[in-house]
Formats: sequence, C-alpha cells, structure tokens
Amino acid sequence: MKNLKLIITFCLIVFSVVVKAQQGQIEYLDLGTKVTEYPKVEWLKGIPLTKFDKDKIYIIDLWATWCVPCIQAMPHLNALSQKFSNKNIVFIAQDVMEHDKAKVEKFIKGNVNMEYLNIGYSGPEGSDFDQKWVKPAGVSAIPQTFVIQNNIILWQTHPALLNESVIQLLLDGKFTIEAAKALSNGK
Amino acid sequence: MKFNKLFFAALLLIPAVLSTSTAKAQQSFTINGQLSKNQQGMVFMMYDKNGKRITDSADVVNGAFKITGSITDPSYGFIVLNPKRDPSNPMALQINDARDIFVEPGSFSLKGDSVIAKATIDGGGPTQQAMNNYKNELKPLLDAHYASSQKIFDYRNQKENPEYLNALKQSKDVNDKIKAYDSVYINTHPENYFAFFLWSKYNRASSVTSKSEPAFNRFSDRVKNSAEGRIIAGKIDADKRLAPGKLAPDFTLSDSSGKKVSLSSFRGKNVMLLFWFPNFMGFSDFDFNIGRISRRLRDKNFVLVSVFYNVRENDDLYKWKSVIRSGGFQNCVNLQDIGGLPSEGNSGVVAKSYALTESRMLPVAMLIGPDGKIISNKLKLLDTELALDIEKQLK
Repeated sequence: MKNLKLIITFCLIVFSVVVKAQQGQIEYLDLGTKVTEYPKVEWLKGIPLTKFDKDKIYIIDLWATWCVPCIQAMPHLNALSQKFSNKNIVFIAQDVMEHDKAKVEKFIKGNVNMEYLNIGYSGPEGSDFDQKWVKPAGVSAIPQTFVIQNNIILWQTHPALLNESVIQLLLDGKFTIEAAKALSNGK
Repeated sequence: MKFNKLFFAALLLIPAVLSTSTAKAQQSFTINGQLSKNQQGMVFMMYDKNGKRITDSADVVNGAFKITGSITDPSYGFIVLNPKRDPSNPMALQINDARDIFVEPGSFSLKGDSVIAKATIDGGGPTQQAMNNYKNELKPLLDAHYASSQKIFDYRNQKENPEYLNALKQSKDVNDKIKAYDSVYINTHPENYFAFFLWSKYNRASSVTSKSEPAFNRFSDRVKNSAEGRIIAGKIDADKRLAPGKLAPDFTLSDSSGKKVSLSSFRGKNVMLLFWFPNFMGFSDFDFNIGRISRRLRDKNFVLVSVFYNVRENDDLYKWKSVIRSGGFQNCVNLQDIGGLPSEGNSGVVAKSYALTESRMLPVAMLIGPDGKIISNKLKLLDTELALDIEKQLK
C-alpha cells in the first residue's frame, strides 16, 4: 500500500490529450452520469462486456503496458478481484492509449498479476473506447479507475485508493466518495 | 545522473519569492573574478531583475572575468562556469559547476581555482556578506546535510537499505537543526535582507496569509519596501480583503463581443470567479474541469465568470476567443483583462483588487455567494472532484 501511495504521488503518467469535444457532439462521463453500454473493445481475457448490468458493480481500471504505475498497481487490483470474485463485482483492466495489440497480448499472457481480471484492448486514440470513454471522462493520465454501481459512475480515482473496505461500502450500498476517501486515506 | 553539489546548495537556499517589480533607481555592480590561470571559456550569471530572469555572460581569459550590471533590490543568483549543451535538449544547459551570489550594488571579488563552486566572494553588499557569514557559521550543518543528501541519492534505488534509512534520519535531524538556526537568525536580524530571504524560504509567497503579518512586520522598512517585501505585504493585505465573508471587489470588463460586464450584475447568483491564462502545463485537465463544473452546477443558480490574462506573447484576443469557443469555457461568462497584470507595466485595477501580483499566481479562483460575499478563496482547480466540492459549499 505504501508503494501504491508513492505511485500516486510521483508517477502519474501524464500525456497530452486535447479534448476537442464540441458542445452537443459528445456525451460527457462525469460523476453521476448514467452508463448503459460499454464501448467496443477487443476482449483479450474474461467475459466480454457490452452492456452494464445494473445489479453489478464494475471496477474499470485504465492501463497500458508502457505505464509503470499502472503495472505496479495491477497486483493490488488483481488481489481485490480474487477476494471479491463471488460478489457480483466485475474487475476490468482496460488497456488504452496504445496500438500494439501483440505487445499487450504478450504482456498479459501468463501474467499472474492479472489472473483474476477481465482484460480489454481498446486501441489507440480515435478508438471507440477513446471516443466514448477516455475523452468524455477527461482522462489525460493513467492509471485511472472508474467505479460504477446501479449504472452510475460513482468515482473516478486512482487504483491505489480502492481497498477491501471501499469495496465493502459498495456491497453494503453505503458508498460515498467521502467515506471511501476516509477509508483509503486519499485526498 | 550525477549528484550535484551546486544544485544541492541552490535548493537549500532558494526561496519561493524571487521575482520583483520595482520603480526604484538602479545602481551598478561589478564582479571581478579570478580563477586559476589555466581556466578559459565563459561564465554565465543568472539572476532576477524587475521580475525577469536575466542571463549575462562574460569571457574567461586566463582565469579572469568581469561582469557588470545594474540592480535595485538584492537578488539571489548563480555564476556558472563553462556549462555544456545538453545533447538531448539543445535549449538546456548542463550545469556542473556554479557558485551562488547575492547580486546587489557594489563591487564583488570572486576568487577560486578550477572549480567555481568553491570560490570565495568578498565585497559586494551587505546581503552577500550576511550570506557569507551565515554559511561560515552553519558550515558543519550544511556539510552534514550535503553528506546525508549524497547518501540518500546514492541509495535511492535501495530504499530498504539501512544506509538509506539512516541517511534519511540524519537528513531530517540536520534539517531540524538548520530550521532552528534559521528561526533564531531570522528573529535576530530584522534589518537584514538575507534574513528575509531565509524567511521567504519557509513562507512561500503563494501560501502567505494574514497570519504571516506579525513575523513579516518585524523586518526593517528597507526589507519591507523591497520589491519582494511589497509582494508579501500585498499578499497579506489581500488575504485580509479577500477572506471568506468579505465582499468580492466589483469590476467591469469586456466579454468576447466587446460588451461591458460587471461582476455585481451577477448578484443573486452563486459565482465562481476564475482568473486564468491559456496553455500552461496541465491545461487540458484544467479546461476539462471547468466544463465539469459548468455541467454539474448548471441548475444551481450558478455562473462561472472567467477573466483571461495574457502571460505569453501570443496570448491575445484571437487566442482567447479560440480557446473559449470549445472545451470547458463554452458555458462560462468569459471576460478578458489583457494587459492587466502588473508585469505588463500597467497596474490593472482588477489585478490589483484581487492581488494578482504576478502571472505565476494564475490560475486562481474563488466562490462568491448570491450576496456578493466571498464563500471560499481556495479552490483546487485541477481536482477532478472540484465540481462536487463546490456543490457542497453552495448547499
């Protein structure tokens, strides 16, 4: 956990994403936004997802093979996924912002740190996921994790701020960002 | 990467406030340098003058060089010997050897051998002399701090190593002692600009509040009337005037169609007042966040009033209009105060009343209630949850 905090402090990989959203041409993904459909991606592992089930909780982590902090956070997410594997929670490691699918496939093959994660490959800028998720949510740095429950985006955060207690809040129907932050010592 | 004693020394002393703006008369200074006779090449001197970073240079012939210039208030700077070009970034200089100096009116004598970092500086003005004395008195602690920092750097990839952990502890111990020494020094040298310089190290201009006033008022008039002193005084004054509960100063500026708009015309609404400039690092996140705020609060009797400033050369009306046409600013009331920052040599009324003493304070924003009174003057503009925080504050 200590290392993950360091990751938050020092290692957010930042790159330039210019949001060219013109008013009316883009549906923003702000906190509280209702989401029903998952953008088109190639599912490299796990159960393909096209529509969000309102009875499930979704933890969607945006990552890339070039993003060291993303990869450092992966064992933590994997452990959470394993721990809550029978709880109607879907953990997705959504690869973004890279174009070399073979590289991604090679990276995940036999990767024990991603054993319990569903893995999607979205492709580079301009992909469906980029157009319908990355840009509408204003994601310019990864890792970033989205927490979705009852079809609503509840939190856009760093994977290190998720922990068992935070997941339990979701399961108990008591999730608020304030409560989650209090449990994760997040700012 | 090499651990560099120069940078270490610089980081140790460099304060947050370095830029100045002043109309006081300038006086001349001269620096006569003599290094070992086999030294040839160039020296560069970097310091701040009237809010601008000055880089001067001189040839080094048989170890000798001379730099002259003019200055008003003391300015902390560096003399760099034969920097190399960075092959990966031709615009950057690799500085391997440099000596810090307090530039002020007077005649300086720099003497050294082949390494300028170890040169002694005599003469100059009272601030240089005060820094010399300070460094002499504090030498054991500064050396210990350097040694522990060197070790932390050496073991930076072995953070569980006892050597690393010990060095961390030593560094903290030494820092505490330096802090204690500085505290006494500052309190016992109120007339001394160097004491103010040290104080600035612990009281960054961006975080100075009215609570800093008693400590600041201990300094002499000479210190308080220096350009940096006036910036701090302005910050303290502004913190009092712009505190929550105070009435937000009214102003009138033009929107993108040229129509004059007053802040007071939004009475009855919640207002987020934002002062900004374009294309700083992280701008796309900032811009997106402005959009988030507009979207989240559109039904909350809320208006986001933005005031654009020019910081770079091409920050003109055209640039402004192109930025606000798309992205987060589309649903804001967008006003401009081009040329209004004090650094433009034109003390704008709005910048003055909102204590925007310099461009590095931007972007900055405050939340104003329907009664025109300030609710909050500390909004974290890059926090993705700012829209939520504002929503809570308006409840």
